[in-house]
Amino acid sequence: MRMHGGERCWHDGNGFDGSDISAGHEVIVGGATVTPEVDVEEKVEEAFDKGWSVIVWDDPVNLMSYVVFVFKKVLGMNESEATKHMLEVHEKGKSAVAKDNKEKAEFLVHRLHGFGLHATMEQAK
Amino acid sequence: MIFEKTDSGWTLEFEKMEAFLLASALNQLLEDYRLSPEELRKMRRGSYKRVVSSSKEAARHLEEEQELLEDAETMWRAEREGILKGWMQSYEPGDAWKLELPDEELEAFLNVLNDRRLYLATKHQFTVEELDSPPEEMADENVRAALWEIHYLAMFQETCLRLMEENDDE
Repeated sequence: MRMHGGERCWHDGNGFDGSDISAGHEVIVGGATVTPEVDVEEKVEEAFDKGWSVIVWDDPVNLMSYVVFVFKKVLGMNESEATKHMLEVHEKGKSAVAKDNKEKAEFLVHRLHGFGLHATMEQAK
Repeated sequence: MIFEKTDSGWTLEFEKMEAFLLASALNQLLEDYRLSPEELRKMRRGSYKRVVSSSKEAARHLEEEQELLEDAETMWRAEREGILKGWMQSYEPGDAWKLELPDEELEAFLNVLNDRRLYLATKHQFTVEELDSPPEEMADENVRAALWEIHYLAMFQETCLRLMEENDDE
């Protein structure tokens, strides 16, 4: 639920679910007045939005066969999908290898990074 | 170099010279794993700008992501360092090396080979052209040695990948 302009939210520590906090509105927390910079509702929507892409960037060190192996292992791709994406990385400089919600995309970026691949995530426009 | 599947995992056998080259690389990797996040960040910043896709866009994204990934990286580096120390105990300098790995550690073996290649490439900020050049054409002795190391570790990696694939097919 969003708050309307000018309203204030009192946090007394009992049953407050945080969903009443809106960007730019004052909230009293433990006696102090704070102004959230980010709308919680928007943050929740953002977290569950499956519009996050995982991007793998080209680099000259990782072997093609190794990249295919990692795509199969981490992203569950079959040989032909993994090879297609590996070639896209190699030829175009990057490939969007997965699209999911923010949490899952972050998880995949961490896993790919652990295998030495240069991966980032971005929200689809 | 002989890689064999056993009931409990894998046996990797290296002749004296192979064992020496591999053990030298892995010993150095133990040092690499102890680099602080700040040192790594500094090394990579230059590398991202010069190497990755030669793309400013990639460099910017990766630099932004770097800080978010540091904690996880510190954990997996410590984990791999522990595994690596265990393997190194079975190596006697000057001898051939027989490394017995449980199934799950073959992947770790692949990862550490890759980590060392990446550290070397980052440290020397190798470009695509340099990586594709014959090492003997490099004037600097350290650069030549680093390129040789990157290439022979790649050969071990390729062998590992081929064997894992063959084993999956069976």
